[in-house]
Amino acid sequence: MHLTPVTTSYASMNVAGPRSRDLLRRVVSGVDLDPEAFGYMQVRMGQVAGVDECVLWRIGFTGELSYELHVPASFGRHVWEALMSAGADLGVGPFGVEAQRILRLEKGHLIVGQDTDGLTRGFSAGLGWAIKLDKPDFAGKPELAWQAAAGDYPRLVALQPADGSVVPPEASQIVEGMEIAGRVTSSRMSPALGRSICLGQVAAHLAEPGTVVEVLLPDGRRVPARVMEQLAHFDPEGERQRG
Amino acid sequence: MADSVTDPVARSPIRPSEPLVVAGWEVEGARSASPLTLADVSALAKTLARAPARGAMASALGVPFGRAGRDASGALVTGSGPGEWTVIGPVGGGAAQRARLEAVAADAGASAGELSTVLDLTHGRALIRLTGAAAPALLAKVCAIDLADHRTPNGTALRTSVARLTTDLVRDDQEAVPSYLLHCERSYGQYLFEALLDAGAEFGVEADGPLGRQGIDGQ
Repeated sequence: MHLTPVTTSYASMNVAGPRSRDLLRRVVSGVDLDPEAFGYMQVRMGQVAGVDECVLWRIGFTGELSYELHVPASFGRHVWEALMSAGADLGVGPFGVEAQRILRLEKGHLIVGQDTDGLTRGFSAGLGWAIKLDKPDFAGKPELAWQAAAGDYPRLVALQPADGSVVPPEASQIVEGMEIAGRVTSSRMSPALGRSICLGQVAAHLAEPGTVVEVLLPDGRRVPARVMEQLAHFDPEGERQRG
Repeated sequence: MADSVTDPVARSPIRPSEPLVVAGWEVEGARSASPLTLADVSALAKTLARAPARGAMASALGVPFGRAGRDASGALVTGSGPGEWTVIGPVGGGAAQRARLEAVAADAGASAGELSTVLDLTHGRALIRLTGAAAPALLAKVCAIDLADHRTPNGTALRTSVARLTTDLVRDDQEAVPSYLLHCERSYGQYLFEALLDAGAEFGVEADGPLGRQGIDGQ
């Protein structure tokens, strides 16, 4: 097996939003962009703004209809400028990491290293759907099997403070009396919902949807927050990104 | 595709002082008459081949680890690592070069059952050429390798630290004048270029365009 890093070979950009397909139709050749032909979580090779051998992923962190474009690095600026030019009447504009982080939090997409830490195991990260303990074996299976059998692992949940104007700082403790029962791992004010939203890891017995937990703020106040039905605060069915 | 999309222009990670578009690449338009020059030649096609160090593909390439030489097409084959070759050819020749190497790899696989891979790294690497009698003295300031003629003669290829950056260094003299190709990850290209300009200030190094004596055909 040969492994060769190609990170620097590609310039990568994310075209996201309900009109992203309309924009790509103006600059992409050789790829059928119809949703029936190029569905969510699929990949194609094609020409973008006249540049061959580009990789197109219909994927995205933002929860919107979204494409990642990976183009030969030397053509990165050309493709970027072509997208800006071709999409001017569609309202295209650059967006940065902070906007991306808010969008992904609204959608409940976790960030490894932020919503997880070095002690987080698969089930605690809400990744149980991807763990197949009925397989004969795989690296790490015993650890995960023990975790599943014990069942007392922390859960990653979506939280909404009762007072939607309060944004608990990330890493705020979730407390139960004088005990630490979890922490807020991500928090922002959601422009789409007009209120604060969070992800957090909580003790197993606090993870049921509808449970009200207490978040300890840096100023000593304790504010209530409700455990939500699912990680996504917005578009939980994924209709926007699958459209 | 929309009519408004302009023809693609490829850009090196190294900023030209006088940009000029040649063969679809933005290149340095400035020319230098200095006896010591530094040229961004990142536009040259760069193809990586990997295979057993002493196998059929190695024999077909004809260049052992630590050496560099030109093949029948005129491309520079550099044995930049054990079982690893970077082939440097003319601007715009990446697809043909890759196809040629893939054919060699297929033959090696068929005849010897070798695992070999071929990858176009034209856009993933920066490539700089330093030329002039004072080039070894300049490099001695930023590289610990002994660059004396009897240690690293023309045709030497090695991987080392240059200005604290992992760099493939290939001695490829030009008309009997010492000349070195320096090859690094794309993102570090501007840094390496500026570090060499800085180190070479006392020797009068100047940036030169690839239309100068280095040639855009990679020869």
